[in-house]
Amino acid sequence: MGSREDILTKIKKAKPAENELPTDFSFISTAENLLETFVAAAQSNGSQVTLIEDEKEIINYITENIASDERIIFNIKGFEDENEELEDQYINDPHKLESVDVAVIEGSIGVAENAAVWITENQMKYRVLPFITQHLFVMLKADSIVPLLHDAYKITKVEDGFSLFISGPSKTADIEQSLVIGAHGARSHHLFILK
Amino acid sequence: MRNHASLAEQFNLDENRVDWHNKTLWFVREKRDKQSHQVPDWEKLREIASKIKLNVLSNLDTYLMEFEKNALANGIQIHWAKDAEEHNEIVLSILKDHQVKYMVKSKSMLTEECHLNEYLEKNGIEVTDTDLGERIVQLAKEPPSHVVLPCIHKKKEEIGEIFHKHLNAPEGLSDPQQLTEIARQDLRKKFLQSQAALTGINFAVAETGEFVVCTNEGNADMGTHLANVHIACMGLEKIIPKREHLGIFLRLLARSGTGQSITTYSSHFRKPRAGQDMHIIIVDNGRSEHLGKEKFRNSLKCIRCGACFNTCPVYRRSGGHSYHTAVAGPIGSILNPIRNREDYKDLPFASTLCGSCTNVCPVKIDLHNQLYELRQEIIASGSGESIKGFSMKMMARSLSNIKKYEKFKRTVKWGYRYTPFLLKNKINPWYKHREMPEMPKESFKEWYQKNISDGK
Amino acid sequence: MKVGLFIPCYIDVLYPQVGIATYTLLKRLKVDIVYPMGQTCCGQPMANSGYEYLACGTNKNFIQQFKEFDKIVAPSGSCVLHIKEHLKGESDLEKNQALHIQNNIYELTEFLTDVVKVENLKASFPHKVGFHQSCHGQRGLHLSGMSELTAPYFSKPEQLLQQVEGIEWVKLDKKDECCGFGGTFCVTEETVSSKMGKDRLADHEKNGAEYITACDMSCLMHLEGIANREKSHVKVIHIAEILNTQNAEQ
Repeated sequence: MGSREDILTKIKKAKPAENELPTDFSFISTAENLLETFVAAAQSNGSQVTLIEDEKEIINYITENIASDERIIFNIKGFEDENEELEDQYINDPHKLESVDVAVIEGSIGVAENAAVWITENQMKYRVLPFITQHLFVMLKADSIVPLLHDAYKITKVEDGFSLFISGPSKTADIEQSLVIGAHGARSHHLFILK
Repeated sequence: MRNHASLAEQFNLDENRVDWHNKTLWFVREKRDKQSHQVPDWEKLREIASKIKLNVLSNLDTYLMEFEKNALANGIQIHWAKDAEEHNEIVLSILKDHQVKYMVKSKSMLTEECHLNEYLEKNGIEVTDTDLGERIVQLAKEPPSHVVLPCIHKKKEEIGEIFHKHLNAPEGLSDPQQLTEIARQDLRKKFLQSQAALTGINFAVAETGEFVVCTNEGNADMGTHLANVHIACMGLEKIIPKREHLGIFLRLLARSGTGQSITTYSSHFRKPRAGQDMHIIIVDNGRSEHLGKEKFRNSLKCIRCGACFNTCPVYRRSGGHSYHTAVAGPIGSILNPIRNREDYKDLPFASTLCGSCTNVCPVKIDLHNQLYELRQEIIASGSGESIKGFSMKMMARSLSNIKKYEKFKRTVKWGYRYTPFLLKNKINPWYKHREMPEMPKESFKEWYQKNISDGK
Repeated sequence: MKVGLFIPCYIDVLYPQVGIATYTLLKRLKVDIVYPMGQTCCGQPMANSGYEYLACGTNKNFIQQFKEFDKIVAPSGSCVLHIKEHLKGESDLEKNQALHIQNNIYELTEFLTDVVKVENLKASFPHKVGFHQSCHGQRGLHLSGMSELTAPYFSKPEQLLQQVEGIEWVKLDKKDECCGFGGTFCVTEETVSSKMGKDRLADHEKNGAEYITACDMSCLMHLEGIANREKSHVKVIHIAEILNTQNAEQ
């Protein structure tokens, strides 16, 4: 505990007089239509976007587009029972997710200005899932899109051990600023927006 | 002695590379402009971010204690390190407790500052940097040259060679897509093998005891969510009071740094995963002393976005390594000499004080003013070069009153007329790439005396 | 309104024509302008190199020379900014005098737009001109909007140049990049300084400028040195010389 006390004492001596915490967090959104703004932002982040009217459309999409031998983890609540073939057994060791090809997760809040989607631990089930999967599908209800990041933070709950905003596929521009999609996380990011 | 001017001169031996480096970084600055101009109240965002950070500095001890209390309640273990040495020892002891031989690490400028990799390797731990840029410089055995774009000084062909040498890549590769894929495959194995993962911290929230790590690649998350031990290291200034403040900082961070509206992943860690050990190391390493320096404490607001690097016309034309330190660029030219004046006294002079850094800074650090003030401190402490000090004293004397000034002018004019070889040679740095201005027959004052006043 | 004319030392010695243009222009605009004969230098060369403590002599002299004037004007953004930010008096009296000077000193173009409120210069300069935004004038004195900030664009020098007949404006790739002069930076970091200047010059050349103009002769001196070495056809001219052209024709 020596260093702790030492550091805190030094800070106490060195810190400046009170500077008040600002309270005005009202900011302007330029979004005329939240859904349209969100979709445009998502596309510019390198995501694919599909507008759907029913959750089942995701299953149809998978059946039509994903080869049957690919490993899929389907985490949309309410569909577990009717889609047993899409459900894995609960996995204790995250390393066992190494071979997942497609993960389907529901997000809870979408942010129009940057297409970031808030996903909680409960929704992703396994923390490593959105990263280790080769392809990530995120379902989002259109009415859960808010204009700005500030609006999202007003409604996020502090309850999970891990939660995050994901705004697109894993990417890097570390080599000469050339944008490459698919660094270490999911190679593709597909948003299904439920109207 | 290593100094910025001579290292920059070396970098400039290859003018094409300077042009390429300049262009690549200016491209990022332009992306930043495009993003920031899309936010109508951008300047208000900066103002509020700055105010929050100032509030943090005023209450740093209490926020740190609040953060500690909440993080402990969430099951995270907290360590305090007064300096780099203690930080490194703590990391090693955690790894030893868990018999870890192998660790993956995502980007953390703090661990660069502490030279953690070298220390761990000496102690038998293998460390793999997993941010692509960091991985490349690690393989090349070089320090990063930029806080956000660690290998921005490397050309893709050079990266191809490094991958050929170290990762069994075929010879002659230079396509970024292919190179990234090779790194992905290689690092995936490392992620899966690793028992421990170390990350930096972008923001630690006092109110919730959580911390946020931002990446585009997903490397921090790949590491931590697979490993049984997560060590997160933070400089003690990384604290923010409330979760709602993340809305401000995350809107500014990526827009300022890389010109994205937000990073791909903004991960909020609040509790360890079931069966996982999570540690936070809060590091001082000179920061509390820095906090006590009134003129310079403003620079502790820095959120390491790298915007000041990208805009700096000197950085763009001298390269990150010319700053001979982990955190280069304008902000590095403040942070380093404050911590270690003797080794970094050259850095505050590696600037034209143009002020562009101050304008792009998302938390409104008055960088160019601090560089000016640091110059005064360095000279006052006797760290200046004696020959420069002598010529400055001579100059100050000559300019202090009109008689001396007139004499000085006559000397200069005489020198111009009769000893031009003293001015027009390679010893005169001005003359190396520039012609001397011509000396007119008559000064302004002489004209004024002759034509306007009665010569009094 | 008594106005003191401050002609920075290097303009006095090396570029008298800029001082003459400034004086003549202000006279023509009926400004009651006087050049105090005892002036030397603002002290910036020392201060920017970290030797601010050596500037007490120049500070004292500057205060003595300019304390009596209602306003002070100089054809140099950089020197004006230095006075505004760093002029220091020693005694209480001097401190007050310094404060008065700091509150009333103007760079030439802002003096013309904000104090004289010139609307019709009747100047003429039928050439292609690139405008170099000197950092101290732009980012320090806010003579014009800055590319880094999100705010409506304005420019006091441009406002004046628009009144010049026949002038053809050259659009630059980087509209407000530093030229690399930087005071003693130009010799202590000679390599980077020259490279910056070379790049600045290339931008003007590429976009077809015949002349580069600016509110600061120091930037122009540096750019001129490089242009001459590179045998460039581009010439430099201080903004005061352009604004004063009509007078030259008469």
